[in-house]
Amino acid sequence: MADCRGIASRLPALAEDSLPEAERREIRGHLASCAECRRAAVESDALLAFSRFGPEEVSEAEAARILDGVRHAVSLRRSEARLKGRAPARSLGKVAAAAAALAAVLLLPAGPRPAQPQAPASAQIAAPEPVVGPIAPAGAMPAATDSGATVYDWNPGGDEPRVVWIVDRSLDI
Amino acid sequence: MSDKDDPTPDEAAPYNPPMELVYSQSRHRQESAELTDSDLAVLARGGDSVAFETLVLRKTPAVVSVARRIVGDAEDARDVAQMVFVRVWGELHRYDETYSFNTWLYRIATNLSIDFLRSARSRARAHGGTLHLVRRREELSGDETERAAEEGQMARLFADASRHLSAKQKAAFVLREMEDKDTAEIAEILGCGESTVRNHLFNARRALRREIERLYPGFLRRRS
Repeated sequence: MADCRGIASRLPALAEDSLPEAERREIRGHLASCAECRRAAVESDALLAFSRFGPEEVSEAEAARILDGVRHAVSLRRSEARLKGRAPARSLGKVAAAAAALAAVLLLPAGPRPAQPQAPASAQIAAPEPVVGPIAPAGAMPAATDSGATVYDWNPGGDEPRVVWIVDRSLDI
Repeated sequence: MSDKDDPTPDEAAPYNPPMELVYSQSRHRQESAELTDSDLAVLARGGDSVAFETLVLRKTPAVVSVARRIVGDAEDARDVAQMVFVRVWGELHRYDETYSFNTWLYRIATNLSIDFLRSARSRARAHGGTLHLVRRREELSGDETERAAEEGQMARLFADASRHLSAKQKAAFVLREMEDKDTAEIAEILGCGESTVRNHLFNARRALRREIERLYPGFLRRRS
């Protein structure tokens, strides 16, 4: 560690940043602990008043506040990432379904199909009527399923938010 | 009691298997505190939130310090510090642990501070400097200790004198004189050559001396 005697003569070179790095570190180390030499340094060149010779202090409360803000922001980012992550999967599903339908059309033999035996009218099961009663939410698009349940889909085929409401009358008590 | 009812020695002994600590967050925090920055960054990249928070707490003083010097306002510096750590979290997959974590962190902190400073300058132009005056009033009315007041005074002096520096000149000066970085590291942080850094530093010092002389004529004592 340098002592005070050798400091004053090297202050102009410190201000001009023309000292070798090791010597610069040595002088700055001394200035960090010697208030008298710090005063002399600022008198030598006002710019040295802006030099910080010690570590910046951040209170625990301030650090905790910053950490809290970071946690909150990271949590939001994670939620956003999860939501974004779902959209491509759904699109991929749609593409796969479309590809399967196309493949079925292309692979099925063309030409007249053999006549299918007709089931008696009484045996035919009528497609269930979509249940659109007072419980149907406004703006929802109903679709009947094989089981007879009705599915209401807000924003069908669109992006988020996707809300689905399933009504299954077979479960009515 | 009959012999039949007496428990055998095996039955009488309570089942007491040796317990093993599977996970303790406080121990994990202690262990994390002993790791290097790069190790913590690698763990955080794998989803270890304790490692990430340890890194945030460890690096907060450095990030706040560089942000405060560049943006010139303590409250803004806290906002920038938060943005820096959120950016770090989002970019950890790009961090190459063979390089210094500090340099990588300083690059993010400096770039975000420069962006913030540029947008603040354009805001100040739009609002005719009112924002700056309001902020200054808020700062002065705070409960500052004597040392903080002295540091705050120097920070304001620097904020005034450095107003005409370019963002890069200011960042170079802050990194050199306040963060004690060498020219090579500053070049890496700012993404330019060392000669460019030396030019920024030369011009920054000249402009600062000129501004101090103009704004505070009694402050600058000419060397004989």
